[in-house]
Amino acid sequence: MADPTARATLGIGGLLGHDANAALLVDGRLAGAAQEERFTRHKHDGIFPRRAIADCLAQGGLEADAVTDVVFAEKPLQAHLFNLSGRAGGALTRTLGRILPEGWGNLYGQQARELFPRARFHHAWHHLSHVAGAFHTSPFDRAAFLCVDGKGEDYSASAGVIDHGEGRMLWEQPYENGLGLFYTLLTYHLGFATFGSEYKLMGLAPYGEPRLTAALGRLFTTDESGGFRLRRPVRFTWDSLLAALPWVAAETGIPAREKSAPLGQEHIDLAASLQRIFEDEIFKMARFLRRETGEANLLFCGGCAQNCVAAGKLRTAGVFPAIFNSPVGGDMGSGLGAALLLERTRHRGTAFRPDVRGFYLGSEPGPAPAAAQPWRVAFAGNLHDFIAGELAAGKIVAVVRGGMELGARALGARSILADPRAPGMHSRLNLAVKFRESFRPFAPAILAEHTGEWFDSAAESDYMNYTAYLRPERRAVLPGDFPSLRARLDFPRCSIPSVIHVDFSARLQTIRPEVHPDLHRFISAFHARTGVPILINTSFNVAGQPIVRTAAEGWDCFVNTDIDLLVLNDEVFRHPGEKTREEKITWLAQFAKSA
Amino acid sequence: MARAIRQIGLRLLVALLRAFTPAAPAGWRRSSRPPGDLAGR
Repeated sequence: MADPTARATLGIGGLLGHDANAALLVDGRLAGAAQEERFTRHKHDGIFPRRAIADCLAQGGLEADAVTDVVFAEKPLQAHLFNLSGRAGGALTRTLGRILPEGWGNLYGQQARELFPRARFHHAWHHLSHVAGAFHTSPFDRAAFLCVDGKGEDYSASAGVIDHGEGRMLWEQPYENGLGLFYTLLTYHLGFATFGSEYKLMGLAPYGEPRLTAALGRLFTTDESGGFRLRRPVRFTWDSLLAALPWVAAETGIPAREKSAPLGQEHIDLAASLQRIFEDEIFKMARFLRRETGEANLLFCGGCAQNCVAAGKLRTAGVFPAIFNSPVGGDMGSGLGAALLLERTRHRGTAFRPDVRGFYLGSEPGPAPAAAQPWRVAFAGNLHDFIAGELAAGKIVAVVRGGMELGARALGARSILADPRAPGMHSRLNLAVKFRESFRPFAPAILAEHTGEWFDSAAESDYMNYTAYLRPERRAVLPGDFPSLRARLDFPRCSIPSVIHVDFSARLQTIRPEVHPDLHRFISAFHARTGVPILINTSFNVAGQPIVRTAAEGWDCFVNTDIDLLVLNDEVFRHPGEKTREEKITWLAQFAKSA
Repeated sequence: MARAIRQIGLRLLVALLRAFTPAAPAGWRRSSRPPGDLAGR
């Protein structure tokens, strides 16, 4: 029975119309956090996160009327005033914020009031929600922060210092046409015009040469501190972004690519050039911040911090002696950030740091569906050893066990696992399981204590938040040229080609038993059999589909793909093989709009 | 009637904002955002 006197703080994110999410803190303990898309099955869903909230309440053992505080991860009035006037806020809008209802324009306001009639309502600055999410899940007591994303209320980047939870935003870049929107604009230009597809360009960039940076440079102004702005006032709306594509084409000489059109070398080089500019600007911002604050630690957060290539290079370069790139520093964890920002007021003077339980913060999957029972596999010994043997034999295994992950990445609780050594595994996973573009790499999950034996950095990357590079002695010598992108991808460049990109980079997930206990056992068992401490870990979904949540969803996805085995809780199931290719494609079509 | 008044109020507000909020130049600027601005209502 929950304590009726407990302080229950519910954080809600997604007011910008995407990635709705919720998190619940009960007397400073993190009860749960989840994204609405996992429940509605619409990727990046931005509706009021009623089901994510219900999941958090269920995990906290609370009814809605026990919630004492609701905090939103944005100030809607400030965003509204900016949208109306086209001017970034200042003293006048701050004054209006104290006079007018702060929640004016809050998409969720009415529904939240109805659900929580007794709670006090708060609105946090969007970037400070990101910063709090990063800080309170970081190892730092004090740090500089750099928050870069598509759009805050009326700004695109912010920077400052946070000390034991007390954040001071010292600088900001007004308007929304900053570095994040630039990346999104080029993502659309290259034919990936679905929300949240920027990571595809990051994956494409290593195939190209950054020969178009000068052409792209005609689209923006910048300075030595990374003070970046597009030369035109593009807004963060679908219409505005599409209207800007002819301008991009005119300045770069490369017409906008249709989604179904083939990728040409000019498109690939444009992606490489964009990534180069992005990294240069992030480095300039970080150097500016280091110079101005003198801090030793950096929190890198906001949507742009999900660019793990830039984050990895920033860490390796040592602009700051220590850096933390939070897995919940972006919009999917904004509700958690807002809740932590409010909760920290009860912990002044201390580095308030709740147990995040490896970010396995969602609910359990529930029991296997009845339809699965005829396909249950009997095995001797323990589950991890059995699965390791199947993986070593080249099987693809999906896993649905324990609490669901918060954030964009599957961390082992809703994952597909496979052997990174198996020839052709990369193509098999992409084309027959994930149904997605063939150029994109998979992430290696590696036992943390072995990371330095394989990669140029042994530093932690618990949540796939940094890239590192394969050690030179493990690399094959590459031919000077390849006839095609496909030929380059398929060339045997090392002993674990499925998780190593063509430039020898990898988006690492380092596995420690105290953070990922279950995945650690799977990989340890695989290591004992094969001598390789690495497995492919990719999210259990198909292109355009949110990661599966329940055991039933896992079964549904399993039977419609070419995965060999499915682990549901403590049981293992083999594939029924009853669906025809046509039936699978029909099932897949429901997610095509978001792919 | 109420809608018309709201529209007029909104236009006045926008005009006020545009008149008294100068366009910000590109680059970093000092932030005026009050950090602890979380008062509950």
